[in-house]
Amino acid sequence: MILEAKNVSKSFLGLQALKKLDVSINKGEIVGLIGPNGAGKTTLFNVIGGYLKPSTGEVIFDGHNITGQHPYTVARKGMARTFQIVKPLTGLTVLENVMVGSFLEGTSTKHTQEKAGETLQQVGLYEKRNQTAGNLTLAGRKRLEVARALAIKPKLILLDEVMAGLNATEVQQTIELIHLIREKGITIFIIEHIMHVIMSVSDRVIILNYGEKLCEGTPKEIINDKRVIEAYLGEGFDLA
Amino acid sequence: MPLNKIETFFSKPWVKYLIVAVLLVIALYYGVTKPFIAHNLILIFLYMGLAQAWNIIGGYAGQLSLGHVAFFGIGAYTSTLLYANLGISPWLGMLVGAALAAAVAYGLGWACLRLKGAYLTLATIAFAEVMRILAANFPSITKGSVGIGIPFRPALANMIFRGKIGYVFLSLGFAFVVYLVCRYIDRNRLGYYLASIREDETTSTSMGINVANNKVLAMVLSAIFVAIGGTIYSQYILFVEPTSEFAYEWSLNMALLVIFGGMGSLYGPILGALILVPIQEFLRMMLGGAFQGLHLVVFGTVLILTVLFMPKGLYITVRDKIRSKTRKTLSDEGGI
Amino acid sequence: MENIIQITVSGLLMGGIYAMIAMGLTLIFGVTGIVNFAHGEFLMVAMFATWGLNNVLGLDPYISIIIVVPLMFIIGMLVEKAMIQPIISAPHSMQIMATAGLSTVMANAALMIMQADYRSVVTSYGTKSLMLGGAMFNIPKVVGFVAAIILTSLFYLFFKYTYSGRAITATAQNMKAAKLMGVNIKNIYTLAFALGSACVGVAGVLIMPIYYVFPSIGTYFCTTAFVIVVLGGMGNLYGAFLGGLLIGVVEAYSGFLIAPVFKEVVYFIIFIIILVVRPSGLLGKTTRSS
Repeated sequence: MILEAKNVSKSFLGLQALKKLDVSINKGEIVGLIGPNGAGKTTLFNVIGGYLKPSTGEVIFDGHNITGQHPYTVARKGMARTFQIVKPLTGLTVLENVMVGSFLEGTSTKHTQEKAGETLQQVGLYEKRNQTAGNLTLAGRKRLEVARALAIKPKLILLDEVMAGLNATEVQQTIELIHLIREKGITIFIIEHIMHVIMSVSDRVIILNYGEKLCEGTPKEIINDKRVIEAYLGEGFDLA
Repeated sequence: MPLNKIETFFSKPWVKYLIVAVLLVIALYYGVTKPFIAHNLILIFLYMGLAQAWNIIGGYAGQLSLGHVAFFGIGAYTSTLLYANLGISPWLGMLVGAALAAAVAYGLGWACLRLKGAYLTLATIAFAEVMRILAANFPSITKGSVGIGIPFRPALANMIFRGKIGYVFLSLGFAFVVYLVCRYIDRNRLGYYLASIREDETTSTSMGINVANNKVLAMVLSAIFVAIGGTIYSQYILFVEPTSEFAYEWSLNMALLVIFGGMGSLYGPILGALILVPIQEFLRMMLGGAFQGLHLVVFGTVLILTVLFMPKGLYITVRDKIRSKTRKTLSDEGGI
Repeated sequence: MENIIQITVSGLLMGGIYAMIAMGLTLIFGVTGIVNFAHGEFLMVAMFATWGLNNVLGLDPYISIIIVVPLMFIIGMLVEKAMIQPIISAPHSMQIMATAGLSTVMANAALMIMQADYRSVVTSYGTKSLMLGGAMFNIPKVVGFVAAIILTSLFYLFFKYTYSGRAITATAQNMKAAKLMGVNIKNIYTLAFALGSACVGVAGVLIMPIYYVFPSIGTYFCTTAFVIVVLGGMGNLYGAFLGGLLIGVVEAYSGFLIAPVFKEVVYFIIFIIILVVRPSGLLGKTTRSS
């Protein structure tokens, strides 16, 4: 088990965004997180990553209790994340963006530059390394988010809607990228709205609704679950 | 010669060093013969050091302070008080002042950590203003608004020189040391971290950067060198007073030189000081008598025009122009 | 006891004048998101205009309000169009430097033209006071205080009952939504900046019977205004009014209890504490959504 969130709740001014949630993720898994808007998906990511303090419960990551720890400490322990609303360091070049993450491994600039270059090659942004990050297309920015997350050499990576707004080809490329990340032995926890993507890519899917776990299981189990069909997928949903 | 070739030519180390050496020799030659030139050189180098130091927190880390004169004044007053009252060498006083400024910057840095944009700027201005009022109103220590004269005892150990050329070398050395520090920051992890913090704090955090520590560190480094500049200036004019050593104009000038030259770039502050300080001094010397305040009118105007028409500053604007042309020629040839 | 009443009264009266200066600053910030570092210099211009009208045409300061305030409105409008509009979506640092640059230009242009001399307007009522309940009420300060209340009320009515007023409020609350509703944001920004300048124009006129004017006076009042604005919550008009009174009283007491020269230190310390502990100011949330 690489990540375990136990009995996690989070409320904002009386609004319960997460209700006593238990989530656990095994090493090497790809776990999908879906649910309607406002279900608490990003809030869960924020709690796990240390961006929000949970009202109750605790988060165990890689054997450490990281509840209430600062996000930078969590990142250093090996948890990376991307942001739903992409946050590139717009004034820096693509390479510099990734270098900032790669510096976690050592202080040598030259070495860091090489490491960052390798990461960019993996995500297919190497040709654009000298461009200013602010000039990238949306697909490029989403890819840069992933590159930056990979740069800190994480054990677990939280991907928050890295495919939203991309066209079919770009989505396909991102799916390949996700498989590549898994091959490197990195565990993936992914929020995605595109249903056929999440169903095809995940080993396990968790469905959130109003801050509660509606159900969880393999994609096959999920799409056959009556509750899910009624509450979320709508009748006649087809995997294809 | 196409632009990209010009750029590669100028980026060769020996070309850079040769240009700097030739310019220095010419400047020093005239500096020896003409006090007016020497005075200008001193101010150029002093401002060059100050602007580079301001650039660490204001440019690289993007935390716009307009209260840096507080550190300048701390440096000036500390060394002066130690020397005038206790006879302690200003060289040592300079280090004490720097340490004091570092401690103050550490406190201010933590206090202002969460402040952003105009709030941070206002807090720094207010802080400097408090320092000025304290300096003016504790006559038992600072002699208040009367100021303190530094006894003229020329000796290297006293950091006091007969004639101006000693000060030229002193301020040149100061500018050079700050340059080395900034070059180290620019090329190493700290520089990348500060730039990252400037661009987006949340993203920086997600990549494992301790934003708070790095911001405070930048503030402290910046304050140390501004304080050293304060000591050098007071040793040059041999006098300190609240309205001069704690004058808001210093803070504004440091920021202006960096913004004009290029925020967060290694050469921006140097360029800013080289171009703007002589202009300011010329206006002050030539027209200051007839039109008091003219040089500041010109400076303010330059500041406004820079923000409106060249917001990235001279160095970065020119560099990007050259680079985009280079890229075009390269892509014409099938590169990139 | 008498001392306490007198100090409180003096503080409140001075606070009324501070409030007027601060209201202009906070109005501009609340709507455009710009902190006008040249606000104090706008005050200086208004004061010089009042002095000039008195010196050349012999106009009483209170009459010159009908000229000075529209003049400041126009100056504010022009400055907004020339300088603020182009940088309205620029980074904060650039906006700060632009208005800080303007402040330097204005203060030193005044120094060039008017020299560093202190100038004042002599009126028959400048030093007259009313005795009431054991306290002295300096008449021009009372006028300033009453004017501050009237101004605040006028703003209240303006924001509540006129189209422009409501458009300004809407823009301050949510610029994008206001834009979608058909509000011309550009004009609103200009109007807010001009109104803020007119506001400081009123203050400039009303200060003249009791204060000297000199080129760098802006710095003094501007820093006070910043303290008040932060105290009341940036962008909050009523907060500025309250903050003005509070700072006036604090200043009067610290001047009495510690020493007049340290009154600034006292409110700067308050300022830094508020910035650090409660940046949203006393009246809670700012009206501006980021």
